[in-house]
Amino acid sequence: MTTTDSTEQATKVHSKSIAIDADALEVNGTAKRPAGEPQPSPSKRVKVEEETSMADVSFGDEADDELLASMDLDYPVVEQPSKQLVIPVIPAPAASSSSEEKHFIELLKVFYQWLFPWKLFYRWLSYGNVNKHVFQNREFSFTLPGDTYMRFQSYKDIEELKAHIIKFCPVKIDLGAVYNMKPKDKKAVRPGAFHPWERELVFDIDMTDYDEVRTCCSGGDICRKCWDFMTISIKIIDRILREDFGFKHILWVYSGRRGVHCWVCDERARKLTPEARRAIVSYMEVVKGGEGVSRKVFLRDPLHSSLRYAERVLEEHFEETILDNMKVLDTQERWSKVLAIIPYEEIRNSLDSEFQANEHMSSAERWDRIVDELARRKKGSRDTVKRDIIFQYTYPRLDSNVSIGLNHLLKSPFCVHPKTGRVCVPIDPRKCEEFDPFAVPELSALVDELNSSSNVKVESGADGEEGEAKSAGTSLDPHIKLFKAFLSEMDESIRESLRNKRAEEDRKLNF
Amino acid sequence: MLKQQVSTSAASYVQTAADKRLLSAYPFSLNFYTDPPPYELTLNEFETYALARLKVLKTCETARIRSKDAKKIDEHIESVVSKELPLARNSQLKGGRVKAKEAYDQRRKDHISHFILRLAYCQTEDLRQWFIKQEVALFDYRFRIEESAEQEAFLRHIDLGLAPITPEEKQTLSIPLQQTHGITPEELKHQTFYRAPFEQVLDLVASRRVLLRNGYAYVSQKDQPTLVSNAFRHKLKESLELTAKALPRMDEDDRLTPILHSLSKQYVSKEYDPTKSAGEIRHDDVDSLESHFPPCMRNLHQHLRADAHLKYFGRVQFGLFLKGIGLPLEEALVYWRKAFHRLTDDEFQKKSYAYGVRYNYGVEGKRTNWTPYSCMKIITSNQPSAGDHHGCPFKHFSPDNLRDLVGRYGCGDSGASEVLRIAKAGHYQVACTRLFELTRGEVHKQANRIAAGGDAEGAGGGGGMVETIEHPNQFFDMSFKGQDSWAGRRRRDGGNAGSQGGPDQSTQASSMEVDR
Repeated sequence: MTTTDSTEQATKVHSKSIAIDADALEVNGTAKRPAGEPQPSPSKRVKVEEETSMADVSFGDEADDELLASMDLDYPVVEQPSKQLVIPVIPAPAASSSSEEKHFIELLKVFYQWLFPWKLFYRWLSYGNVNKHVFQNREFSFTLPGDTYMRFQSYKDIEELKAHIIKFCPVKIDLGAVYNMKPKDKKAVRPGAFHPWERELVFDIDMTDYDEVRTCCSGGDICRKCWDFMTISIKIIDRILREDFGFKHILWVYSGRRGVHCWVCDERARKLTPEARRAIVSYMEVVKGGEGVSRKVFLRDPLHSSLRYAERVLEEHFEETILDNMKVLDTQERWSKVLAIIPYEEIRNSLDSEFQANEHMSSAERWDRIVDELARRKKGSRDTVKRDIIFQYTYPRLDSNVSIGLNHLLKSPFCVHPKTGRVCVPIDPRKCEEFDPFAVPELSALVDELNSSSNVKVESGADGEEGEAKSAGTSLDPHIKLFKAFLSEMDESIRESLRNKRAEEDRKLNF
Repeated sequence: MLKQQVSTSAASYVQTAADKRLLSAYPFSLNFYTDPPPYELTLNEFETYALARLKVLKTCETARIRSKDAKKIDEHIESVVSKELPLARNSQLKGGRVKAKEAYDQRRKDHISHFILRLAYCQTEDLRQWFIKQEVALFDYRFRIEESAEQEAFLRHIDLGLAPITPEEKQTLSIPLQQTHGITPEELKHQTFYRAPFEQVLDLVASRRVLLRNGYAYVSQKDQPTLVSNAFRHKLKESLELTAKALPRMDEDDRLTPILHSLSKQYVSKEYDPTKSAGEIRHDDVDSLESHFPPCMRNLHQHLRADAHLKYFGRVQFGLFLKGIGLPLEEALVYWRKAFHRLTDDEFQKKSYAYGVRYNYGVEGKRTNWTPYSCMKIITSNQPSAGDHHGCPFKHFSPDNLRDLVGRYGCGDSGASEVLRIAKAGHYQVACTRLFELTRGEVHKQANRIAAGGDAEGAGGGGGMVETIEHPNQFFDMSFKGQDSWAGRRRRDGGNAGSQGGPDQSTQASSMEVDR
């Protein structure tokens, strides 16, 4: 086959829909090939497989929402035997990339090689190695430069994973479920015999879901003002998970751009069925309804005890976040949205004309007027409209699909967000108010720190501890310490449950 | 065979051998179906029993679709159960109103028919889910109508292993318990609470009707039916999975296989098959056909036009609908590319919208030829959240917005009020059907009459009755056919809604956008 032929074929198979068979790629020894270089001879053909399995992808994050969302969340995960195409071309990973992108990839390589906390990462995902399948059957997915997608990768140990990641240098790493068999072997079994076994209970909170209530930025942008929404969410959801559901090992992670992820890693959480996850999400969810609905919150009175706590948090934040920062009552367009929630037409109309007449009223003053009017109408008995407005404007908004399905993917902690260059670092929920997304270490700065740091010799030995060792002294260090603390607590729990199990067995033996 | 100690109210009137047999086999009208029936039966019995139960289960399904009102649902189930699968309660035995022999036969039939359907419905996840759902509904219904003494006896009998919480624990939790259940301290005193892992009471958790602390749910005795029902569901689910695994190895009578096979096929309500009444259409025909779109699709279409974008579920719902009305893949790709005109080619590729379109047509990924969503699917799954325009307007819109949307069909104020009233009562499909009747009923009726040879006059008033709309494509097909066969005479006289919104206008607008 000639070069022209192959290029044509490669174009026909849309690059987005291609999953590279990792093993096949290894034939070439390298994944990166400068554009324009002669294509490899037929003997070095790369097996490229048409993607068959995007059907069950869902993710949480950012720029990829749309891409990811377009892969179905809804259809069952049944794989069909895929057609194998043999195309003598690598879907040129960085062919279209600018020099900026190339630079990013180079930095990323350094990051994976020297800064990514591999050992801790393995300590996390192996869960004490009580059962070796927990790591080996875990699905890893990668987005390679040039938006090529690799799903259902799995590794026997951390060295293999690390080597693979350094080689391909994915711009994004997603973690999937732990399956009943090694995900990379899934093609070997009949469809349906491959299914998810367990997975952390995860939550994804994304700022885009707040677009209808935030006025400072929209879409992918965030500022310190709207970050308050994330702080509120962490406070409320973290408490529910710990106190109501009794989970202990909860990892909050900055998503790298405009949201946060939450990984609940208790054994009980990892074993939850989709139905149980759905119930938990529904227990938390308060804001419901799409664009066609003005009032999205209807809570009963008296409030469920779990929402009492949430209400206190929301009330603490409402004035500053919603009234002073978001200024949701400053223009007619904005206050109409708030007034539309009020079910009493006379109040809506009178307040609307009052607000129009008093152009210079602040949001806080207008809010006081709303509260007054509602209270006057109710006379003594508690009014739920005010409360529901506060909930609608401040209560956490979750992407429920990510939490419910076991097979959904979520971006791994310690990835680097390709758009912002920021590392997805853990957040301490007890100090979530202090977390500043703009102070998160950035890839290029980290690499600079690495280069200027005297104790680092990049060329030195490639064994053992390098991830952890090299990050010491960089601005990534405190975040890694936080991750370590999380892991120590988790290991303690794992040891304890092992001790209990043994004690139980001993007891049985004695009888 | 059941061989447990029987301690039930029924024990007090044991007299005859028939009574004893009833008591030892079926002490309660309720059954957890833990043991398979040890009987021999004829092929005829096998089939009739199974069909009887299937009718009941289907009723359980439709009853819930038709009504949200618990009482109406019960009445509906009752009417079929009393005919197909009557089940005497123990209390009815006391006065001799029902003979022990009769009760035994009823419970035996209930028992056997359940297990036959287990065989038929264990094989795929879909079938299992459907079966479990309906069986649980039937069980709930039967539990509800039992007397409370009998309920309690049954609970003791199945033993869910729940211990009431201690007074001290209740004291510590008294405030949150009061808040959660909205009760006074006095009422709290008289209620018993049970502690269970939250996984056992998921529906109470989901609807926030239970207090949670540290992974435990504190369940009020009032919510006991939920506990029972969940236990029933859980057991059934487990046994079905076991049955599914065991079935291939069972030495089965090959006379049964075809029966089981045909039984399992009967569950899905008939799928609406879009007829592509408009023939194959092109991407630039879509705008002119908008007048035939049902409200959900018109809403999506208008938002797609206004925002040059739709979120994921909107794309799927609308994309499959367009596929159903006859937009072939190549045209669909052009259509969506043009619709998302604010994106550059690069962005469009990058976000893999084209992949999504091809996926819908079964040429990507799983390669399934997806069918357009039915009303039921749109109403029940993927609830829209912020920024979403998909869903069923009759369910997901607030009254004001719905009135607005409906108003654009030109059904007049009183018509809109009527439709809104129906929608508010939870009859979303009926509301949609009514809207169709009001605005297209005449045309539709005329069309049918022409088709039927001219003598279908008489039935239905107030705009012509039509069958209930169960599928957005059905709305489209009915509307399009009506116009098609009658178009020549009435289309442009403005009397009919449906030509509102001016197809020409919107085509112009869109082509301007596209050619910007």
